[in-house]
Amino acid sequence: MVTSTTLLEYQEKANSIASALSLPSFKYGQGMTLRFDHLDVESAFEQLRTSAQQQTLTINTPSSVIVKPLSSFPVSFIQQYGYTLLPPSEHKLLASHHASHHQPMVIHIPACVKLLEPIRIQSHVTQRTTAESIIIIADEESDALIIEESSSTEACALKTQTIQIYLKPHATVNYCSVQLFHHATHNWSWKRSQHQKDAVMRWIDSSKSTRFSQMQICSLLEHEGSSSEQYTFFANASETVSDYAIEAVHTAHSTSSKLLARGIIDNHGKGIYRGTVTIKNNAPHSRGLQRVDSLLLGPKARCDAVPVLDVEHDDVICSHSAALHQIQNEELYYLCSRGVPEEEARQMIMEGFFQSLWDIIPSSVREMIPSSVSEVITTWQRK
Amino acid sequence: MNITLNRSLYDDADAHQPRFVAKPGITEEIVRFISNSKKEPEWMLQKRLQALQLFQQTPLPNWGPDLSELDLNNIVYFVDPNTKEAENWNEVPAEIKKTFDRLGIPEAEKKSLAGVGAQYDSSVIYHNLQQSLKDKGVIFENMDVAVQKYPDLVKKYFMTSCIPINDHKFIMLHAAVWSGGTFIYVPPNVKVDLPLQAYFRMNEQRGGQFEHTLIIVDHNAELHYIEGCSSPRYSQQSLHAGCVEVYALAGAKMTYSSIENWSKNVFNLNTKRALVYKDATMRWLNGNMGSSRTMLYPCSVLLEPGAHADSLGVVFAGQGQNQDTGSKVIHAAPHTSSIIRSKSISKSGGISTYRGLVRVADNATDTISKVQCDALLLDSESVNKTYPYMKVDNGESIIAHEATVAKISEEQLYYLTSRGLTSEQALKLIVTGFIEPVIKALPLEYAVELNKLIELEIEGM
Repeated sequence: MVTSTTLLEYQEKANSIASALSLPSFKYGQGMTLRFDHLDVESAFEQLRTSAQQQTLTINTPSSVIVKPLSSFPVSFIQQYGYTLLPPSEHKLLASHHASHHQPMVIHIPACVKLLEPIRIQSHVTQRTTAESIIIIADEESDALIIEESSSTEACALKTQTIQIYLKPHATVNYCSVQLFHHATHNWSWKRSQHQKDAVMRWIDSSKSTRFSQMQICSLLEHEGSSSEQYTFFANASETVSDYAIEAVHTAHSTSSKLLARGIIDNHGKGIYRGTVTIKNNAPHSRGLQRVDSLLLGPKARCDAVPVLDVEHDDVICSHSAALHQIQNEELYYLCSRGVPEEEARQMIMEGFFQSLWDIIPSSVREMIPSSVSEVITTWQRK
Repeated sequence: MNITLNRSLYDDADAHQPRFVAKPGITEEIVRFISNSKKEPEWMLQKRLQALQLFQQTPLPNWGPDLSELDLNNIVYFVDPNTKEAENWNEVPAEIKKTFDRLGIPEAEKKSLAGVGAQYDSSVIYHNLQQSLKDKGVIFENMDVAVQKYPDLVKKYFMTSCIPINDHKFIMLHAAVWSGGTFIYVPPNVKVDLPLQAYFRMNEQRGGQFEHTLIIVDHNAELHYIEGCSSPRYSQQSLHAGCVEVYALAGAKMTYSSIENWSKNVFNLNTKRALVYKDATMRWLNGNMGSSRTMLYPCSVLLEPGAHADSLGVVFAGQGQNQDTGSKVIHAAPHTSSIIRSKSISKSGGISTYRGLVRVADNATDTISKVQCDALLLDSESVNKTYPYMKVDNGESIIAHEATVAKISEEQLYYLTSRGLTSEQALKLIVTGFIEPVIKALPLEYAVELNKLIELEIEGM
């Protein structure tokens, strides 16, 4: 793989940071601890750092969008955008990701370009350990929908991904990700967006549960009028663990965030939801809304939820709510009494559970998402 | 009812000379001295020494409010106020009685309480219980006395299964130097109609109060216990690390109300926990106004089917205060339920934090839990944080959590001022409405006191 010397330098630097740091504890307080039964995290990330990497990303874009590998950009660009939002110094796993010899891809949406077709990112992973990095720069007044579809085979044990999105004033980016990894794949995904004035970010995330997946999605609302909407769909099958950390940080006035998550957890599945809305003292007139709902499908379904609010200014409206429940007998009775077989009735209730979150996404965005993708999100390949 | 209240009532120290004030700092010598002066049995001394050893090995918690201003070596761990425990207020030394008179305790006892205990620094100075309750077998004693008089009950329940001595750093400290407090036993099927009350007053500078409350409510018995706390204001830090253990046995109904109004130099690091058995109900009512740092998380452990926990709290954080409170419920049996409601008000840069936990064990099917916390920010410097942990290991349960953070809206103020209220009156009215659910649940005298205190906080500072 062709890499510029600058990129190699950065990877080398990340490598030394990774060796210096120790593994995170995966303890979230109050007895919440993640366990990895099938993966030796330390050695898997070690392998990720040292093994050769193939390019797994295929990016199809309308002609007005520029897609180039990070190594083809000048040093100043790499300095400014390459690692700013997700710096290797943050923790060992992220440092190991950046140290791995892969080629980050840059998607540049030029100013005032409003895309009528989505940008499609596809990735199919067959290697044991794989890292992918995507940097998106949405210039002023641009508007784009990006659809990412990722999958893996049984051979892939560890997959890491970073998405860094830089939104210039008045830019809008809708990022819709559908991840259908093999059960054996341990998946780490770190996504962060940085907002300038009036920039709008919508994260639509759905991932099929694997043995373990961790998703961190964070919007940094750093300039006035910027907003972020995070729609998270998660479905945990039996013997799977997913850990979602969804975050919005308000550091400018008149910013708004909406964190909405819905999850279905099968018997013997486990879901962790950690949501944080932080409104700093310099962010008056801000709004934060957080809601997480989980449907538990059996006595051994487990769910930990920690929706945090951290508010340092009084002139804000901030609320959160969380609910864990089961399919109610009344709902089943209603459908069954109308001739729907019980199993089908359950499916209908589950689909309705996701559909009702899907329907909140603005229609202009929904309409651009092909039905093949939206069906995966709302039905969860249960069919 | 009209009560005029001013802060000096709580903040001013009185001139009482104690008999003995220990040197600041904690040593094995002091622990042995405390145990010896109380003529405690050997097992209690061993418990204290073991706790001291654990305390010295354990670091401070690395989460929650900043405790760096608390100098544990500068705290006086034992102050003997030079008086015997009295059953009649006239036998209490005049200066101490004056303090409790000002706080209205003897007055309240006559009117609306079935029994009163009063603790001054490290010792209980007054204890009285209505004769009719004594006849029914209700025990209401100073904890120190209970160790001597009811060794079997105390040995069985004192810091064993509810709060063991190694629970956390400040419990280890408490177990080593505890002094005074209350022991209550309500026999089966006895309903105590009027509340029992204990009032804790810390008077000594740089003092530490470590009272231990142990309450056992036997089968189908009922009890309402009220705890009031205050201390004079000094420039140096004081420490309150109390411990409350409640056993609500099958079918029992227990209500624990506390109004903690420590002055703003006190670190209030208090631990309260209840074990709730079959079909029993535990209610916690908490008002937290004082102290510079509070870490208090009343906990109910629902051990058997049908157990229910109810927790209601109001917190006020003013200038320089960091109120880190919240409720914990552990559902460890099927068919248990809990309700948590929390109200917090922050003003003048105060920080209020809700840090709660709802834990559903994997055997606890059909759990129902609801948590609601609301925060009101009265100005732009104040801070509210909400950390509700929900750890659910059983899929057949229903858990709901809701929280809101807001300021007083312009519309509400406008509505009230347009009807002739001054903006200050309007503000008070809105705040009073905000905490109403808590006020309603308290006996009238306390409701009025709490309301007045909060109004005072809004006016003053």
